[in-house]
Amino acid sequence: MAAETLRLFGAGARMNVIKILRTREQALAHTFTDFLWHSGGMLAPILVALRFGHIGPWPAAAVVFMLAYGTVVASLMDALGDGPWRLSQFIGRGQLDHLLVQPQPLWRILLTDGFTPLDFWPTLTIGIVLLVWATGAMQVAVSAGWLALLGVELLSSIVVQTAFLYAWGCIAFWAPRGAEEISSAASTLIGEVSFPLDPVPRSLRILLVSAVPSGLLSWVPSRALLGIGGAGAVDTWLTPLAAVALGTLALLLFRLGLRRYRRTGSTRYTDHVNRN
Amino acid sequence: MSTAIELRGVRKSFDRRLRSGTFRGMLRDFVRPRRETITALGGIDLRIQSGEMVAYAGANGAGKSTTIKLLAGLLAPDGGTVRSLGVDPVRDRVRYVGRIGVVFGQRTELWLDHPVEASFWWRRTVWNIPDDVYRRSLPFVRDLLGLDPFWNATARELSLGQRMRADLALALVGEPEILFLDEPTIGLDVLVKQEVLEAIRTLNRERGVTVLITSHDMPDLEQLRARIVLLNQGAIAYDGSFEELRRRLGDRRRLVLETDSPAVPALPGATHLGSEGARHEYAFDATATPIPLLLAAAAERARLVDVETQRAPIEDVIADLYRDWRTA
Repeated sequence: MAAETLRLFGAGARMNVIKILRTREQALAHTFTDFLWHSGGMLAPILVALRFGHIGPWPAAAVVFMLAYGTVVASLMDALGDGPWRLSQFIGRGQLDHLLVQPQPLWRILLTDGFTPLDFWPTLTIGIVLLVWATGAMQVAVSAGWLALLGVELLSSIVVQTAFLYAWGCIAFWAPRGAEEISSAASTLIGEVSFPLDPVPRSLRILLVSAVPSGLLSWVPSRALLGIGGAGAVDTWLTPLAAVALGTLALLLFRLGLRRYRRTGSTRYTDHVNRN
Repeated sequence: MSTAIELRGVRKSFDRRLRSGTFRGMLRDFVRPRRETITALGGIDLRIQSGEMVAYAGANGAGKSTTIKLLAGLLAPDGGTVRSLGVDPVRDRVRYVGRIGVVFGQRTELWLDHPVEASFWWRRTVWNIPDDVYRRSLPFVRDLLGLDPFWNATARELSLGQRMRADLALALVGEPEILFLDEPTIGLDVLVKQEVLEAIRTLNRERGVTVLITSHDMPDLEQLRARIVLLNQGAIAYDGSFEELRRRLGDRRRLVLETDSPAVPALPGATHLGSEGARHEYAFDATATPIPLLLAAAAERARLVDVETQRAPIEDVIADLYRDWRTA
């Protein structure tokens, strides 16, 4: 099963290389626009932190750590293809049919379809370099346990974002006419948090780690990993637990939605009726 | 010969929400939504043998695409059983879809920003097509559908005809046992249409691939010399050969008379369709009105310069049939 999944990741990688290397101009533009985009997005909070020395209880290096963590999560999300970002379009535009005629389990297709290694490596590189630098600057005692926690938190953040996007995207099973908007609106909603949330009101903080869990994509895991602002067990386990809960919810919604899709089909390409 | 496809009592219906265009009606629908049920398939039975070619036709909304989707594992029936290659297409989807090829005329499986060749490589990988099968089938389908001139072109830049040929080849490269074609000739020019239809015939004749094809284009389907299944409002209204269908519907013919004047001669047993100067066209049923009698009547009523009779186009025959069904 793992070998087959890796094989399909390989196929996605090859298709990504073929697409990007269409022309020299295309290859250069494609590679560096992401790099510039993510670098530019991180610049403002880093400059603020450097100017004032800190943001709330976060020293400048911790802010860099948080942003680097968020960048790693974002780049890995980008690498994992279009599924989370375009699920509602897949459903509403009838593209799910194209996936269902492939002789592979649907989870594997959604996981590997659109795998884009050439798109994400510049951003991932920035994220890792800054993460390593900030870890050193914060004088974190890097141990096997800490690295394992970093891995768990990263994986959990990715699952949280993926599950959130899938749960919202599943609405298209019941409201296919909103296909163009649902997934993109959800991705805007759960955008990366660029600043530590410690100074914001408590009610807003709670909202940002629950209903709209943007805070779980970098802020809470960074607090846990760096031990900032009196971080405790709640900070350590909040993201993994949210990943399990949201993942379960998304899976349930997807299964229900797919069952409905089997009944109603796609609303596109029907010659006599809009079936919703 | 074994059974490739079997539908037994298959029912499928869809709900449609009704909406008023007036403000008052809109409010009423908001409070109390109205729905109606569209029956796409009302309990059909159909059996297709391995190696058979079946043309699946019917007016818009007759249930053609729904049947293809049921057989491709994209939809589950509301009732009845769907078996294809001995399995349930929805429950055994992963194993099953590797053994079939599906082409939707309005969609493409090609990677649009990639060369055509890349889509074939991707297909081979995702479909797990064995090396020997791929090495054997690729040259065959490239040649059959004439892909060489655009093999390395970006799919987005292909014409509709080239795209359809590539899509068909893509569906064939894994040597599927059944080929489902939903409106594969839609929008194609005459020449490309001929090439695609000839390729389908070759596949069926030489490779024994079972083919189920839907189309609105009746002359295309007749050209395939397939068994034809006609759907009407979710039920099979006819299942047999084109020849038998023509016979049942009467020997519908056209008569073209060229006379020495623009005055239209009235012919008993024939319907005047139109005139261009002194050239007059009629429709008639040769079973009810034998040709010699009609020609004799024409000779009595006008000075004939030229006479031509021909069979009515199959689409006219079917159109009459659809009209009959609608008014029945």
